[in-house]
Amino acid sequence: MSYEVKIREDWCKGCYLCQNLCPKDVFDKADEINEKGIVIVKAARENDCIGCMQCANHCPDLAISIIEEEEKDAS
Amino acid sequence: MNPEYLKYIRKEVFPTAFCPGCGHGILLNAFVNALGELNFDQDNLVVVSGIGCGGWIGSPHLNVDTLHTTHGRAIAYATGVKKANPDLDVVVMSGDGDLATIGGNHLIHAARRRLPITVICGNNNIYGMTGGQASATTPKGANTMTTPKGNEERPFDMVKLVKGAGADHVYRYTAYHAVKLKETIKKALISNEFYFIDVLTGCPVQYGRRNNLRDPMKMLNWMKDNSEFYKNEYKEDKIMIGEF
Repeated sequence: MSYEVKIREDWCKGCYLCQNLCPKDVFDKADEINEKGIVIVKAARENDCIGCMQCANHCPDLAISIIEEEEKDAS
Repeated sequence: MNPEYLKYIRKEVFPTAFCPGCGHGILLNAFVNALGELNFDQDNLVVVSGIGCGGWIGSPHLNVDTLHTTHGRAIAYATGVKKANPDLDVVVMSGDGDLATIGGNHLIHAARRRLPITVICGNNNIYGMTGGQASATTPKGANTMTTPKGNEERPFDMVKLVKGAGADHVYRYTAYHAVKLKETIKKALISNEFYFIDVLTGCPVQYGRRNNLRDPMKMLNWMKDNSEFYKNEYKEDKIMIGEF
């Protein structure tokens, strides 16, 4: 099971609750600032995500979506 | 936020008006998740709010019928809405300055009448929007703009107040317990009885910066460390959470 971590860059305000709550350390601070001058987060290690939804449930700006991806067939 | 649940919010007003890390946003997140998981009929829902940061949770962010009323009178307006059209689901979502301090009388009488509405109090222990004055729920000893040497008065315990006024379904959660909060909101939305949910949201900017909790994560950790689930014994030195 793999998950896609989508962050809406224009909604994020950079409170870093997701970065602190994530048990697998998926998030990092982004290298650049967004158009409002905020250092937002980025999903640096998306493959580590286990889909616990801690970040999505606690995001005060509703900016994070965790989307379950179907396992690709090996064939 | 599940992309399917975005129909419950007005995307054009986002990003929210809240400060970074505001607990009111976590309450909004839990409420939208509860609506989405129930696949709730958004045409039959009225969210009433008062004035202040707490009043901004429902209006304008939720894509339901919202009513942004005068300061402290959210429950009075909600009573009118419910009496005029009893088929509507009415939710009052406002702050502690609105529901406990200025509109405290409406709150206890709604509890006494067992009005079939849901009241959710985004309790951040302070008047956030006007600059951080002490409210009726500011803890004793806390520093605010109007109590720079620490609050000398004891605060209202919202759970005990509403319980004492005769309400049957009284809950308290903190912003840290977002999943439990979501489940409780779901229970309240499908019920046709008076539900009161006190949500300790925390204000990192106005409350936190004067009380050494400026970092939003520090605020959430403080809630986590100081809260305890209620099991028959009510401890005064802890934040009691759960069903009462």
